[in-house]
Amino acid sequence: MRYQHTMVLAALVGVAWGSSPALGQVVAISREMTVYGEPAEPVATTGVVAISREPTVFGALCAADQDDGGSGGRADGGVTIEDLLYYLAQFEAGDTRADLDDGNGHGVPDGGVTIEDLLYFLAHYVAGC
Amino acid sequence: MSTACVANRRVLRGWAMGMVLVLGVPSLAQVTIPDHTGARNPNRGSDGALNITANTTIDLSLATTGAWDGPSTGNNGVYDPDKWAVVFKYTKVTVNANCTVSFTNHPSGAPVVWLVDGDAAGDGDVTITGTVSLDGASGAGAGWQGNNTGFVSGGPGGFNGGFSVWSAQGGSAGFGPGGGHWGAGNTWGAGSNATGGGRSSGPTWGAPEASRCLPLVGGSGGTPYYAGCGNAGWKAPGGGGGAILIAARGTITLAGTNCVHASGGGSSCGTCDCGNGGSGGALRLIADRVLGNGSISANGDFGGGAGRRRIEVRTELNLPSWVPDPAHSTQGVVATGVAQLWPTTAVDYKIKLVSIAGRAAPAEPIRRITFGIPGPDLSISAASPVAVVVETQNIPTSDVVRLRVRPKSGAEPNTNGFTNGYFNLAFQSHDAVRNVDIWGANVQFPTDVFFVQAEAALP
Repeated sequence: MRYQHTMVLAALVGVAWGSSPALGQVVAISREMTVYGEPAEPVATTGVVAISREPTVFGALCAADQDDGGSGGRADGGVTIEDLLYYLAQFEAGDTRADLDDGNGHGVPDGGVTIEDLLYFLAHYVAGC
Repeated sequence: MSTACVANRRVLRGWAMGMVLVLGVPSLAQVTIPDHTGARNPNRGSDGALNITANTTIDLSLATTGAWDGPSTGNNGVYDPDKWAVVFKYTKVTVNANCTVSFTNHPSGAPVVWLVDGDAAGDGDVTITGTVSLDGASGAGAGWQGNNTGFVSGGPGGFNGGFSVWSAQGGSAGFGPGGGHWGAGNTWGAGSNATGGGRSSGPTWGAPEASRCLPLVGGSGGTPYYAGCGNAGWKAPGGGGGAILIAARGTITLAGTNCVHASGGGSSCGTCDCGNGGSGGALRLIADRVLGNGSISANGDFGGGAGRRRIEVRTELNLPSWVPDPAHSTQGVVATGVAQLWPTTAVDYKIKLVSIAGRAAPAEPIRRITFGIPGPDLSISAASPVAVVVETQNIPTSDVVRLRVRPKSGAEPNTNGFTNGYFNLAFQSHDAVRNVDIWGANVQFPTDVFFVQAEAALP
């Protein structure tokens, strides 16, 4: 589809020499160029405006399920000695991955690695969830 | 070369110069393809000329990671994580008749950008007599339970169809901002960049410059559908159509039929029903002139909404097949002669998943299962609610910021504050130093493998 309008520029041409223009008479025309009309952009009133990246997450049912033996911190659905070893290493290092509980026993991290986290882990480890 | 040939060339050269002096140099408008400063990119043409003479698949995973306006190496383009795009800088592009260009996805799933800006010898034209395809994949197999297990891939910049498994749970919801929902009777299609169609409508992509395909985002994936009749079972969905920006200094000529397409993938069907298709992607052309008898398309497939198409020219748009439709296809003028490649800064909406349960979310999670990579990006305890932190930039706090959780298999969560897989976050604070807003909540996630995405939506 082609859109075309005429745009007036200030190039004076074609006025009869020695005559006075009558009212309404064209006294000047411009070059003629082709331009394209841009319709108003539709404004969205609903919908998503931004999205983040989308990681794959494993939600372990048991807080003591920390590792699959690969030391990568990937839960595997079971509670074994590898989970204990992995957690103790993280706890000793003060890693945020050892932050499991804020002391209330509900498994809500509090941003710090303290004895409450270790106790929370051990409780679930011993119980095997 | 003979002496006579040289003499003749000198005569011709003198004649031509004389004609130029008499007639004047014709004024040729061109579009400036800028770098990040707004000036013409000094690295233009670093991917050379793209001349397609046989069916060709461009592997986007070979792109080097770096700034979008930096030089390419090996003609493989540059992946810019901030722009979420694989950017090629060609001197010219020619896709010959009966030849198709398609793509292998980058691990990030990023869209494709072709900046065609010529070289010292000029050019900067694009001629497509064959086809450039960014279609989403179609769910294969018509039989019992659908024959697919795994993802049905979206085109580059598009999103996967829902995960398909051979189980009563039937896999996951579709991916992308308009990805089809698993629940609600399994009746959702998919829609991104446009409303979904077919069985039901998906959300509309509502970013301020969405009608200009800014940012460049492809279509969303459909979701498996349980056909309860005939050879009953779950039918695999289609992936979302991809997204491409082609910005040329000179002329884009569409000489074939359906020259560039980014349509949603179809779905597998039984004897009486099908899975949900993907929605159409996004196509954006910028050039001094766009000409030809060809066409471009970004259609949705069964249940998927139409995508968006956008053409901007400086001098001439003469494409008889082009019929603007404000909902899905718009045209504009390169008013200043400089192509706008990325969203305007003030409305460059950004949202980032910062952490879950105190664990940092990966900046560049890849589509692990799609690429055959085992294991999740994150492991968390789902024994109790955990803290989620999200950052936004340029997004009004009146908007809704939420999580969307898609279990790998089964229904989207609908309890513990979730509704159809969505969980609204609360605005918490503004970080004036980094100019970001912080959102968060304690969220009870499902167990086993799921996918989580933060999104902002108009209220």
